[in-house]
Amino acid sequence: MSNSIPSTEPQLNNQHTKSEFWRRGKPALALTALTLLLVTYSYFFVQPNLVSQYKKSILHSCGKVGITEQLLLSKLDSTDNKLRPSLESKALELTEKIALLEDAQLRLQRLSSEANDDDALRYDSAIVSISLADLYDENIQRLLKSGEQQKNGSVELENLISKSLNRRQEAMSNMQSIANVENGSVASMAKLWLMERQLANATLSSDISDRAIQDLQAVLATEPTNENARILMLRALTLSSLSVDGPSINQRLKFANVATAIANEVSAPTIKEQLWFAQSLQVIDPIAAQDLAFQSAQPFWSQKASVYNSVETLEAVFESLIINKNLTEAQAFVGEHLPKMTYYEQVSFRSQCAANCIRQTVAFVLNENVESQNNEMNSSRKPVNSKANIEVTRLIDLAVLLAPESDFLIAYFDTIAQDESKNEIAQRLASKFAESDDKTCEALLNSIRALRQNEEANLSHFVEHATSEKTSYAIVAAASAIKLAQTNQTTTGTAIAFLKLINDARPEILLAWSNRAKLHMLQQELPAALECLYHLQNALPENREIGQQIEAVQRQLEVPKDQTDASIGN
Amino acid sequence: MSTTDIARDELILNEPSVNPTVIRLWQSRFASPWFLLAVLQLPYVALYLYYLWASTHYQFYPVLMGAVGYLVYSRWSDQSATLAWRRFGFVCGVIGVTLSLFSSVVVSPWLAYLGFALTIVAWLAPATDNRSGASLCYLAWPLFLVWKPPYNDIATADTYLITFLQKLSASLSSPLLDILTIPHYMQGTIITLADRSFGVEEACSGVQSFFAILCIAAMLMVWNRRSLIHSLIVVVSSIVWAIVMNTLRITVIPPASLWLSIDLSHGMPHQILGFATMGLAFWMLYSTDNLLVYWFGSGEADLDPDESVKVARTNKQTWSLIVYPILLLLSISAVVQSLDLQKKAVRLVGGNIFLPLQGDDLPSNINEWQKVSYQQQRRTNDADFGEQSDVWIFQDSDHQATFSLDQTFRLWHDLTVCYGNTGWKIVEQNVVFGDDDQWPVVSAFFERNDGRHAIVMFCLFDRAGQPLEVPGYESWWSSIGNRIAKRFSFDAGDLFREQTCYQAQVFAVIDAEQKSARQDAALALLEVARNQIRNVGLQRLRNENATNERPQSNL
Repeated sequence: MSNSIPSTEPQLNNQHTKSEFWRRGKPALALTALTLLLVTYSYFFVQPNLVSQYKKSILHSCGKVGITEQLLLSKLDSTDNKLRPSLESKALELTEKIALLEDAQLRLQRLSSEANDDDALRYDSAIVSISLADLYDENIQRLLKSGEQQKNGSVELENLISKSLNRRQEAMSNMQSIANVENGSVASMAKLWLMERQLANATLSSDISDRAIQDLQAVLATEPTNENARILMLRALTLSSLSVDGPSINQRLKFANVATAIANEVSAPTIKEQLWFAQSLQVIDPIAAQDLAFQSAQPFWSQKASVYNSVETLEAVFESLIINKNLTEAQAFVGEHLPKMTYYEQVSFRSQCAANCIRQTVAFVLNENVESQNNEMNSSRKPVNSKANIEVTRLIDLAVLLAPESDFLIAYFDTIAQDESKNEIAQRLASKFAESDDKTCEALLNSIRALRQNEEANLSHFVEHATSEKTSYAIVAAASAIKLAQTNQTTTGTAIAFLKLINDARPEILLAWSNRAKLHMLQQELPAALECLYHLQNALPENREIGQQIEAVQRQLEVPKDQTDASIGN
Repeated sequence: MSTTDIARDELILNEPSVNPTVIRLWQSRFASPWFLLAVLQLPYVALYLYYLWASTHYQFYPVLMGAVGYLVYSRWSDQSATLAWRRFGFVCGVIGVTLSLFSSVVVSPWLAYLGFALTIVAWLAPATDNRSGASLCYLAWPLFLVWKPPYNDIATADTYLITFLQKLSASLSSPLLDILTIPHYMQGTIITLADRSFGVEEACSGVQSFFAILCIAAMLMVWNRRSLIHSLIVVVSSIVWAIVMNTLRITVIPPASLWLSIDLSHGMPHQILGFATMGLAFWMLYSTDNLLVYWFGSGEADLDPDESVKVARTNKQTWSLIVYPILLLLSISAVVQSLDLQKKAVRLVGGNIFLPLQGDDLPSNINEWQKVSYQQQRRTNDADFGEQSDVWIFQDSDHQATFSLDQTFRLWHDLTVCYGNTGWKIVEQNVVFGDDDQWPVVSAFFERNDGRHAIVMFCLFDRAGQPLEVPGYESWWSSIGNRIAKRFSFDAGDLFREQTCYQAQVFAVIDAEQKSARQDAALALLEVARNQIRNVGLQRLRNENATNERPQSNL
C-alpha cells in the first residue's frame, strides 16, 4: 500500500560533505580536550601544591594581623622566618585585617576538611575565629562611635554582631570538641585555651583544670621528656593555682611545687614560661619568684633601647615588672609603648596587662591567706599587712586604668564578689569601677551582688548613678536589674524597686518599663504589670506583642475589654 | 452489481465532505485498539502530568509530547512493520494495559503513565516510518523520559539524580576555582568564599540543564533517525555536557563576584547565565552528533560513504529543532516565573496553602528551651528546604536549637538529603515516637569534616493536621493492601490528591558524647512546638480561606 499522505517534512536533498560534519564536530572535540586538559593540570600540578600554598598564605595573613606562629599548632610554616609578625609591619586598616583573617580562616576550614578531622588545624581555626570575632567587635565599636550605622541602617551592625557571635560560638565549639573527645597535646592545648578563657572570665571550672592536669600527667608518665607537655603542664598548674574558685591552698602549694620541679627541668624556657613558673612560685616563695622574674626580664632590659618585636614580649616584660612590684616603672613602661601600637594591639596589650594586675592581686590575697593559715597554725595572729593592701589598691588602680572597658575585669570581679572571704577586694574594685565613668552601672550591679546582705541600704547609692543623665547607663542598669532578679529570686523585690526609681527619674527608658512589667508578672503583681504595659503601649502603639500581653494579663485579672480600651485610649 | 452495492456506492458518493484519504488515514492511525486503550487511560495520565508540573525539571514535557505527536503524524506510513515488531508491540500493550488496570485499583497515576507509554509503544510498533520503513515505535521512547523512575519508598530516582548532579558539579568546580587561584571551601554543595557563600541550587542541574538536555538529545536522535548505538552515545554525551556546563556555570559565579563585583547568583543575571550555558550544552550536543556522523556515518540507508554524504536535515531544519524548543522552554519558564503559575496551579485546588505564622506563635519558653529569635525565610518554589520557612531559635544552658516549619511539600520529604547537600554526613538514622501522641519522627545524627556533630529531628503533617507515616517502614505488600482497602473506602478521594504537607524540624549542633540526652531534648522541643504551630497555623489558614471564599459565594 502506498502512502498517499503528502510528507510534511522538509526537503531531504541537501548534500553535505564530510568536511562539514568535521567542521561542526570540532567544537565538541575541542571542549572535550580542554576539559581533560584542565582535569589533568589540576590533578597533577594544582592539587599537590595546594596544601603548602594554603599554609603559607594562612601564616602570612595571621602574621600580618599579629597572630604569632606559636599560637598556631599545625606547624604551618615555621621555617619561613620572613613571615614572622612584628609591630614594625605596616599598620593595616581594620577592614584589611578582617579580610586577611577571613581569608586565613577559609583556608584553614578547607585544609581541615581535606585533612579530615585534623585537630591541630581545628585548633588553629578556633584561634583565628576568636581573633576575627575581636576584629568584628572592634569594627562594631568603631561604627557605633562614628555614627555610621545611622547612615547605613542597622543592617551592617546586626550583620557584624551576628558574625562575631557565630565566630565565637564556632571557636568554643571547636575547642570543646577537641578538649572533650581527643587526647594528646592538641587536646591539652584546647583545654588550656578553655582554662585561660574561663580564668579571664573568672569562671574557671576546677573540673576542666583537673582533667587537663590529669591528661598532662598521663602524657608525662609515658613521655617524661616531652618538652611540650612539660610546658603545658607548667602553664596548666599556673592557671589552676591562680584561679579564684580552684583548688584549696594545700593543692595550690602542691601544684606550685610540681611546677617548680618541671620548670627546673625545662631545657630552655622562654621568658613566658619562666614567668608562668614565677607566678606559680609566688605562692610558695615570693622572693624567689621575684628573682626569677627579674632574671627572665634581664635579656629584655638589656635591649630596652631597641624596638621590641612583639606584643607578647612587651606583656612579658610588664609581667616581670609587676611580679617585681615595680608598679611605677610598669605604668611608665606601658605609657611609653602604647602610642607605638595600633589600636587593636593597644586593646590586646592593655587587656593582658590588666589581667596581669588582677592575677597579681589574687596572688597577694592568696599569700595573705597562706600567711594567716601559717599564723593560725603557729597561734600567733598578725595584723593585716598594710603594705600588701597598698599594693593591692595600686594594682587595681592600674588594672582599671589600663582596661576600663574590658568586660573580663567585671566578670572576674563578679566571681570574687561571690566569695565572702574576698568581699574586701570586691568592694574596693566596685568603688574603683564606680568612679570610672564607663562602667558605673555594671559596677553598681556588682555592688548589689557583693553586698546583697544589705541590699536596701545600698539601693540609693547605685540608683543615683543609674539614673544619671547618660542614657546608656540607665539602659545598662535596667538590663542589669532583670539579670539580678534572674540570678536570685529573693532579689526580685530589690530589682523592681530599682527599676521603679529609673522609671520615675527617666520615664523614656522603655527597657526599664518592660523589665519591670516582666518582674511584676513573675511576682504575680498583675495590676502593677498592667500599669507598666499601658505605659509601653502608649509609647509604642504599633507593637502588637504589648497588646497581646495586656490582653493576657487582663484575662488573668478578668477585667472587661471595654475598660481596657478606655484605659489605652487615655 | 447488485442493488445493494449500487445503493452503498450512492451512499458513499452522497457524502461529499468526507475525503476518502482522510478516512483511510483515520482508519490506519486511530482505529487501532491500542490507540483506543491509550485514550481510555488519559484521565490518570492527565492527573500524573498535572502533578508532574510541580517538578520544575520536568516542565519541558509539553514540548516533548508535542514533538512526539508531530513526528507520529508526519512519519506514519500505512505499511505494516515486521512480525517481530508487531509481537513486541503486542507484548508491550498487554503489559501496559495490565499496569493501567492495576493502577486504577491502587490509584497510582505514576503507574498509569507507564502503562500509557507502553500502550503507545504497542500502538506505534506495527506502523512504519514513511522514509526508512522501520517500525515507528522508536518515537515512543522520549515519552519514557517524563516517567519518574523508581528509587526507593521515599522518593523517585530523579530526586536523587538531582542531588547527585548537584554534588558532582560542585565538586568538579572546586578544582577549577583552584586553578583560578580563588580560595574557597566546599561544604556539600555550598561554595564558601571568605566573605560570602553560594549555594548550588536544584535549578543548576534541573530543567535548565540535565533533563532538558537529555530531552533534546533524545528528540535530536529521533528526529534524525539515528542508529541505536549512535543515539546511545549522544544521550550519554548529553549527560556529560550537562555536567560540564553546570560546572562551568557554578565556576563562573565566584570569580564574577570577586573580581568584577557582578552577582550572577541571583535574579536575571543568574537566569541569563543559565540559559547561556544551556545553549552551549545544546551546541555541544549538536556538535557531538555531527562528530559521530563524521566518524561513523549517519546510520541511514542512503548515506553515501564517499565525500558527499546525504543527510537527514538541512542546517536550517536541524537548528530549528534546537532553537524552537529552547525558545519554547524559555517562554514557558518566563511565563511560569512571571505569573507564578506553579503556585497558582496548586492553589486552585484549595485556596491559600501556606500556614500564616508569626514569631509569637511559640511561647518564650518550651521546657528548658528559651526562645531567642524568629525569622521568616522565602525561597524559590523548588528549594530544598521548601518555599517558606518560619524559623525560631531556642537556647538552653549550653546549646542552641532551631525549630523550623517548612512549607509546602507534596507527600514525604527526605530532609536528610538536604542536610547532606550542605556538607553534613549522616551517621545514624532511626524513627522515634513521641511519648504523648506516638507521632513517627525521623531522628538523624550528622557529622561534618570540621568535627562538628548535629541532630536533626523531623516529621510531616498534612492539611488535616494528621501525621504522615515515615516511608520505608511499611512492607510493600502491606502498602499495596492498604491502598486497595482505601480505594474502596469513603476516603478514596484522598488517593487521587497529592496532599500538601508541612514539615516540622529541629536542628541542633551537639556534643558527640551527649547524643541520647540531646535527642530527648530535641524531641521534646519538636513535639511541643509542632503541636502548637500545627493548631495555630491550620486554624488561621482555615479562617483566612473562609474569609476569602465568603464574598465569592455572595456574588
